[in-house]
Amino acid sequence: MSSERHRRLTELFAAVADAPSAERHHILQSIEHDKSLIADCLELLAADDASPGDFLAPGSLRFEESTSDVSEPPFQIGDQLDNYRIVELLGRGGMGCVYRAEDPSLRRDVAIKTLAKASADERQHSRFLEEGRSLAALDHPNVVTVHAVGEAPTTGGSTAPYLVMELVHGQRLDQVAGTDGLSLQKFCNVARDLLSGVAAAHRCGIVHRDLKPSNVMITELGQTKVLDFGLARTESPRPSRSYADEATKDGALIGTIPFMSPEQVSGQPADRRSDVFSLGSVLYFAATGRSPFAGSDDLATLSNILTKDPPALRTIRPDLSRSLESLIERALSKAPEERYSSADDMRSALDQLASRANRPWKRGWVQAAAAAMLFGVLGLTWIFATAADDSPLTAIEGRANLNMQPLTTSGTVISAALSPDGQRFSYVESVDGLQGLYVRNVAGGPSLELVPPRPIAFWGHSFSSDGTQVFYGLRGDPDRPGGAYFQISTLGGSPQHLVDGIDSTPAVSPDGSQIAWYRLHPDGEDELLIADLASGEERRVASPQGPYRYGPTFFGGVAFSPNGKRIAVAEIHPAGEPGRIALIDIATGTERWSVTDPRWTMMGQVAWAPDHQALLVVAGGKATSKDIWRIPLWSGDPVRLTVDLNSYRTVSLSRNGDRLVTVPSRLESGLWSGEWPPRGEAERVTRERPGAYAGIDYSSDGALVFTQGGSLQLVKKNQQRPTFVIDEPGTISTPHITEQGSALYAKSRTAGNAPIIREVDLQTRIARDVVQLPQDAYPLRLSYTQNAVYSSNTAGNRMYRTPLDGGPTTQLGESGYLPFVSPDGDQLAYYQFVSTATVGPSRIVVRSLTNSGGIDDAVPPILIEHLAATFPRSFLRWTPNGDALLVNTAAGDRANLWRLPLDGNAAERLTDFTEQDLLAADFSPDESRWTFLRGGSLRDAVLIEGALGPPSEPSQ
Amino acid sequence: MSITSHPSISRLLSAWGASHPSALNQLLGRVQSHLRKQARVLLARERQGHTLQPTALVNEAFLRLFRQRNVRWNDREHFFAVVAMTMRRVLVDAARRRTAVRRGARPLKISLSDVEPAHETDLEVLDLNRALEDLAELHERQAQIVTLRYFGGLAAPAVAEALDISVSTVESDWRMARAWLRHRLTNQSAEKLEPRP
Repeated sequence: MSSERHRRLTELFAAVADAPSAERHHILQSIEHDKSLIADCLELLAADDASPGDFLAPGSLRFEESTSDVSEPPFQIGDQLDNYRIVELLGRGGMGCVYRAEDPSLRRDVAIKTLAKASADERQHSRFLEEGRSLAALDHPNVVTVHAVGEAPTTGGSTAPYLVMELVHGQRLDQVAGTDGLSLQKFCNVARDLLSGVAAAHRCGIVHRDLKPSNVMITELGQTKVLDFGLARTESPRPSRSYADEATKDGALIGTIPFMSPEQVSGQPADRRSDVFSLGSVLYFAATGRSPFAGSDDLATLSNILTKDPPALRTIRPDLSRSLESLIERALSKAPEERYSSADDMRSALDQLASRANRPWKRGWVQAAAAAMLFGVLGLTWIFATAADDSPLTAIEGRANLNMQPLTTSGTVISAALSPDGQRFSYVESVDGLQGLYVRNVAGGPSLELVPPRPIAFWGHSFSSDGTQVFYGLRGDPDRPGGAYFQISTLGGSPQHLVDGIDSTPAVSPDGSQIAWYRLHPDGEDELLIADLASGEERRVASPQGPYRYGPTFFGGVAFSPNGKRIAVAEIHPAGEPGRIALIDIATGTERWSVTDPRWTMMGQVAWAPDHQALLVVAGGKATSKDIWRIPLWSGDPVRLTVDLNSYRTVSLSRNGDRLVTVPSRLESGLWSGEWPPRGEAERVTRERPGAYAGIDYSSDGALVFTQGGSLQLVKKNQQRPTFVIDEPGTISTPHITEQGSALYAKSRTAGNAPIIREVDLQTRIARDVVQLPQDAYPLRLSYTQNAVYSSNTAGNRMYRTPLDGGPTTQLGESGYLPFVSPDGDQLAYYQFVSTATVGPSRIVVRSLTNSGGIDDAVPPILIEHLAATFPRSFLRWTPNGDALLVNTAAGDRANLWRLPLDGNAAERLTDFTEQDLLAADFSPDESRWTFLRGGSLRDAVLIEGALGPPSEPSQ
Repeated sequence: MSITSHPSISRLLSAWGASHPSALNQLLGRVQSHLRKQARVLLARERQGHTLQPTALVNEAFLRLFRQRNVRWNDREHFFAVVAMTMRRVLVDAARRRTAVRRGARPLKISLSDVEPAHETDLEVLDLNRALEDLAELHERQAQIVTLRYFGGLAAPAVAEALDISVSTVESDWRMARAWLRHRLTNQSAEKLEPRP
């Protein structure tokens, strides 16, 4: 009826709308008798006349907001929630607010997350609390910890639920991924942690529903933590936040949409498989710095999620393995049933990927423990990079994101220190046994000689806090047997003696009034000492706890905390167990904190990056290269900062931590050949090439292979020049020519990783994996018979035998390193530390082997007490007839060849090299010639800027 | 307008209804450009920092559209009617959410004209919606035309095609509906045009 009326009104309106207004009433009266209809029609016509042209016209719609849509904070600064006192509002959105609060009882800061009072009803309240309790029950290092849940009266008089959470310090994944994605190593860490964290939640029945890079925090320590677990659902059953809320907060839905699963986009329920999809997206983002479905705008992104496959990961990151690419692709399947069923499954797939790479040729060989060990950071990196497909790895070093700027080019710098303002550096040069101290501007220019070269050993150096003085340690002065510190102006002049009895680099307190160092007492307690610079008065602060010692170490040094109240000191374990860093309270001498890592055996200098809340330390395996590690103070989870094949010697930071000076050491070697036994001049076969762990092996028919860095080269019989057989990424070593015309060699991605033994056909140059060594083979030195015999330095110095046909690995006898089997296979020679410690003097032990290859305990060992110090790149060979051992020993300055007869006669030095070290040697089958690799370390100071990233700010 | 020049949308819709992913893909391209354009138009005068973002509006509308998987869109007219209706619902829901969230806060306003002072022409999107609902009870086609033109951004020929009526009918209905809404919205309490028993 009313519709009838409206229809009639419409007719009337149409009939007169275009007529002049004066005539409308007349016309209406002529066609309609209902006066009320006529009146209404005239009113509509008036409204039509009054309407501006753009009334309801496209473009006339306008929204206004008088205030921000963000909910009012339910609590005020200073409010007390249970034990927690609100200190700061960290952020707020449509969903709620996040505060920083103090927990006075434990003296820590926490994050408190509340639900916005106005937008939450009873059901949401209880759901919020319920989720909080589930999260609290989920105790996982990769999930933000929920300490407590509660409800409290708000400023507005109602009640608001809240979660008390760990305050995560670090950066969000979207902040750290940059435009190119994470470095391979960081990516591996994040992938492992992220999957572990979400897997733990899935096991507890918690679905995240809003996984995105901004919900993934990388802590100071490099540990990944997932935030906002299960909270996304509390606001709404829909996965996306309401656009109004999100729009107010972020301006758009950016940050959520790109990581939604197709079912979330389509409004279907999100289960664990939806999280799996988002995990795939987040990992893709972590690897590439972009969301896999990113379109020109959000809408394009949404449709990409529904319909498009992302660009293949390896087109952007060719250094990732195909299997890893497949893993992420599967997670990104459009259909949930085609994905992994949960993060747990995905994590298992990742594990399998690792173990598959671990045993490409035989199953059941690798022990679980070995696989677990391989799954450490380095192992995982390596597996991702090389598994199954030989992808180019050259990109990896470039991805270390360290921009190294050489400060010196002589190759003779052994240590360097940076001034507090980062503008100057001091360095020690060592040439022909003479060492001198110099200072130079980082920007360039001439060097100023502070201490002229002389036959003495510098024991580290540091700038004073005002940068006007250099403190340096000296050893080897007969007048000061315990070593001493001196101080000299950076302008030169006469040095001033400070204290005696030093075994580390001097560290200067922030206020410049004190220096700290340690003094070793081999038969007693090492001492951490502080001396007042004004009075020269020294006092003992602490001694190492338990079995630990401060040294001997390699360029060791301590670091003051920024407030001068603590000292960080690196400690070693004398039995070869991992070393550690301890924070010592100066006032009380008590240990406040310590951190260790299984990959640390040798510890070096420590530095403190105040603005970055991190420690840096030089550490590594005993004979592997040393790296600079970064240890965030909050988590204590060490991350390797340097990932190349160089060995790093010292670490020195500017006061603000933005600049770092260190001394990488790289090995170069050249091939030489001469008559055997050595006499006269040897001739150079090749020029120096870089590469650690050089090795040589003659075949029985007179051909020769040798390795340098990643290459294996062949010198055919009666030929002079070598030909390249294979170039591998990383390092290869310990070549061995077989009777079948192939060469075996050990390959490792980086020093310290478990190597693979590979075999390359010398004709076809086709290589294959032979066997994986489950142990961290002591720097890639192996002896081949039917077995690979090698030592590991991960847990002391143990020797192992792994059959080349893939049989089980067995341990060989007691402790020892660099084992080498005699040509007849009956004896085994190896180095052994004289004491139970894994540092200090070594001797050589020769044992008889049983038929089965084990050590024959019935035959007493032959002990050869050789020289006190072993050369770090030692080798050990048998003479061709087995009557003596040949070793390279650094007696004096350079490593030379020595012959150690087994009959007890005196050791004989066979070469007299005064420059470069003898690194490897072998002898022609007729024993008329020998060929050897000689080389040395090139060491230069380099500047690294921004190595620590931006200073850290706590965020939630 | 441009959308009228894509006669294959109906086919795409039915192909998508038959679960052809490629059809969805093509359809999405069409819909995206339409939605984007329409959001820009609808919110053309939004003031930065104080208004909803067109992208947010588009995203929300898009999400709703593609969650209606149980709805079969057999033809493009129906489809664009749905688009327009979705846009309207999105705005209305935003306004509802806002008033629900912020008691006492100023409700979401729509300025119906840029010519007159804002306080005279501002009205709540909820009021417009209510008025449109009432209009639909009186004359569904007129309400549809307003929805299609205003929220859906269709020009008269497209509306005519969508509703299978002549363009002149669209024009006269549009003018009538606009007058009715104008009258209704500027006389919030006036019930004179309401059905009189």
